[in-house]
Amino acid sequence: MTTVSLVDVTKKFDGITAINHINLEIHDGEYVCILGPTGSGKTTLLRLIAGVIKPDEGEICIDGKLVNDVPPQERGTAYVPQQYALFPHLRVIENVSFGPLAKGLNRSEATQISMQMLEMTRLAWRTNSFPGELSGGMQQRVALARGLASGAKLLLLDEPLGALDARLRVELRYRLRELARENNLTTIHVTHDQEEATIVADRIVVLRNGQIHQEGTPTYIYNQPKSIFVANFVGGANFLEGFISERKLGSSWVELRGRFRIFIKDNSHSVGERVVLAIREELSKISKNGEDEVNILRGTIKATSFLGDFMSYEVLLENGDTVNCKVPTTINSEKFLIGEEAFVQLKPQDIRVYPYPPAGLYKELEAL
Amino acid sequence: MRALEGLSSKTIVRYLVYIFSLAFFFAFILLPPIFGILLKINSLGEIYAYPELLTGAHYAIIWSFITAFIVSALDLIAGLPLAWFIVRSKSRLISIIDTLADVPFLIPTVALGYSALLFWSGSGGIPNLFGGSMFVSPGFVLVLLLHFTFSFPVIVRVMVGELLEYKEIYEFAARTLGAQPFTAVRTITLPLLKPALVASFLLSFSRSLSETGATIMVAGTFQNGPVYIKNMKDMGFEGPLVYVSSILILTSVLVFFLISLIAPRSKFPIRKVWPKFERKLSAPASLRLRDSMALFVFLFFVMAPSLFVLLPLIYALFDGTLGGTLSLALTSAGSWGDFWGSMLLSYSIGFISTLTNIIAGLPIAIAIARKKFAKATPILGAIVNIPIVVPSIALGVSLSFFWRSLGSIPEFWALVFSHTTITYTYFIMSMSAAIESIPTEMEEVASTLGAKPFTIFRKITLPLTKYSVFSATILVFTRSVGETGAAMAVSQTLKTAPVLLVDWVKGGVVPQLTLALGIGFLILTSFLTLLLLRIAVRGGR
Repeated sequence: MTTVSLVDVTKKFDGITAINHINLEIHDGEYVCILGPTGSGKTTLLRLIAGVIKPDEGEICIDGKLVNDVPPQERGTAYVPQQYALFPHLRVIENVSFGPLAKGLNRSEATQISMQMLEMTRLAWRTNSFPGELSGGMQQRVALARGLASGAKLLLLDEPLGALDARLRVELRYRLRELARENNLTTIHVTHDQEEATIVADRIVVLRNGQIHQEGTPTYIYNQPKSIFVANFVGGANFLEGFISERKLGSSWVELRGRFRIFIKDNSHSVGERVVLAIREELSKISKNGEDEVNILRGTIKATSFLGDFMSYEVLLENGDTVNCKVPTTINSEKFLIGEEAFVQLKPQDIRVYPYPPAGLYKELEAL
Repeated sequence: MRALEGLSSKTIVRYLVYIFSLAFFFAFILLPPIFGILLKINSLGEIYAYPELLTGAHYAIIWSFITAFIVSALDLIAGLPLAWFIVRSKSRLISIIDTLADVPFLIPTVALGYSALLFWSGSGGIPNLFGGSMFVSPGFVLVLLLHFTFSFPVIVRVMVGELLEYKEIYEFAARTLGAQPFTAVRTITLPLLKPALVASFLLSFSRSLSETGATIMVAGTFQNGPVYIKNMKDMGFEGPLVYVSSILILTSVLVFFLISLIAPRSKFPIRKVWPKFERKLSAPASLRLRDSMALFVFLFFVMAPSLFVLLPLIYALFDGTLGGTLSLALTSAGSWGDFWGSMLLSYSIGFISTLTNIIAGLPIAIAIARKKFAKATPILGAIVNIPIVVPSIALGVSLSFFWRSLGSIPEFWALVFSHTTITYTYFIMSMSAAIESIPTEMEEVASTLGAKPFTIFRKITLPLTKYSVFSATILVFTRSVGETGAAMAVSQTLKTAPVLLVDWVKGGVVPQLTLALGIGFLILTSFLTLLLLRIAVRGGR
């Protein structure tokens, strides 16, 4: 049983606020991904929980016990830092048995536990290698085994897959999830890769400028992004600028540039207010004939790219806006050529509306 | 500039530069001491006529090594906690300690020796606290204390640099795995810093082995290698002189390379952990004790003996005698004429030998850093070390034989050449380390952007290593001005400032205040030189 709770935690470095009044509860056995762009405070948050740095304000509790003044060696966490920090002068087995030995176990007990962990991470055959002789994926597994051998029930992973190549990354993230579940670990996994987060996490915590921006299950975050930032950061989307031209009961009309009118199922913004519409690329429908339906926009194909599972079309609309459409690559899906005329449909129920960001849309989209 | 840049892209010019600097290395640095000893190899047998001198020679050599080992080990034990304290302390005041740690390094060793003598055995120093009884009289213990003082900053400087580079993440990882801070340091940090520990031990070791001027001042009847050489030279025994010099040269090279080969392979044997005991050692109280001990050792055994020489000056300032001596000094009256002459000599030699080292040494430093000589590079890197490994007075003895054998060389130039030899390694080692730390990609990118080799050097390499050029220059210059052993061995009629000061102390005819003032001037001028150099480097950006 391992829980973590942060109450109003703040951490500053030389006057710069890295973590700004964060409140977070992590339940026993939960797998939580801290997702955020570079500089959002993810690593700082992890280091605060591991105890290698101390908060300036607020309380950190592990298993309900206040640990602000508990040094890292007594917190019982398995901290796997970025690049793993495997001890380069020690062999794999010595690295893994470091924790048990440091806690005072005798050599045979320590070796036994370490071998178990190495078997679990499928590395029992490399016990006598030095870290420098292992591939990135193996190093990552040694780091995991080392963390687990210390008996910790709280796993702290800092970009655990960041240094690996794309294929291995995909393979190992499932393994990570499995390992955590099999060993009944509470896991906090820091990443800037939204795809990785949505696949492994029970819950995602989106961090921005040292604050929790949004949290929830991966599907919730994906379907109900709270802001342009989250919509863009998690999954990406088309963003169109406009203003509310008409407001009705449960719906509104938005006017884009070039007098394009879009019907939306939202009436929370008042007439005249500047807004940004967001719609997922795979929900932006593209067709050759503009059927007589709502929100059909005409344009021409500007670029096409083949993404494997998907075909992506960049459509230049008549009003000058650009929209990307993702179409599953199936045999009977329509194919488009560059320069060809195309119609894009944005279904009202798929469109999300956000107030126009004070610093401008581009600035908001660049904040990754 | 443009002409130089054009020339630098010609392969033949580059070859010529390397050939010139290699030729310089062999003709002025490596071969003179070897030939010098070989020239006198015949007189080696003379020593067997004097059995008591032979036994004395063996004892002197053995004591040299014993002293160097004890001192370096103690310095490492005491210097590491201070380096740690400097790097890890969050207090702003620590930068003061950091700067102070360099002070003994910048004081010429003769001045330091006299200062330590006054502190430990002088009537106004430590004996004063014990009712005037001589607590530490000149001899072995005082030599140990002195060597501890001047080797200490070497260790601290090297270890502070290494600790700053060290990735603390290893220590964090160890601690989250349950290791007490002390355990983490013992099993992770120290083994990872082993190369630096070995390097700083070796630096301290060769410094202790080599130091002459200060040691003579505090040695009393105790003889180590350099003191023995000086005594034999004074008494005019050439046989024992050659005997001890050649053995010291050979054994010190041997021991140095043995340590540098074996030490990095040695394992820290203890992997066992004592959680309860080490937890106590990691407790805040133990840490405070460690920090205060480190500070105490530093202040009492390093700073106080180094700066104690200034005390007579301060006394004199209050009882009004300073003015008289000062006016004598400034009017070059009496022995002051000799003093200013030798200061001028020391600074001229320092200036010429530093300049020579920069011009002739830079290509070698680049060649070593960039492995220009393919497989021969590491060999060159190793032999370049020889001048600092070898006791400077022994080196000086063989150099003096060599330069005098050429007959017509004026004494001044023999002194310049030997000072160049002595300081060569310092320049090469610090420059090549600095150049090596610049990624080759920078130079490669610059060349793909169309820059010629000399342009790259001037616009990329030099600006990035500016600080190292500065510190290498300082190192070479202060070493040259402060050098006593080699100067003593080579000089016949000309006396450099350190040699003159040793004579003053040993002769005992010069008033104490004059001596203190002379040493004060030497310290003052070295600080002023440093300051000027620093300003020059800042301004020449």
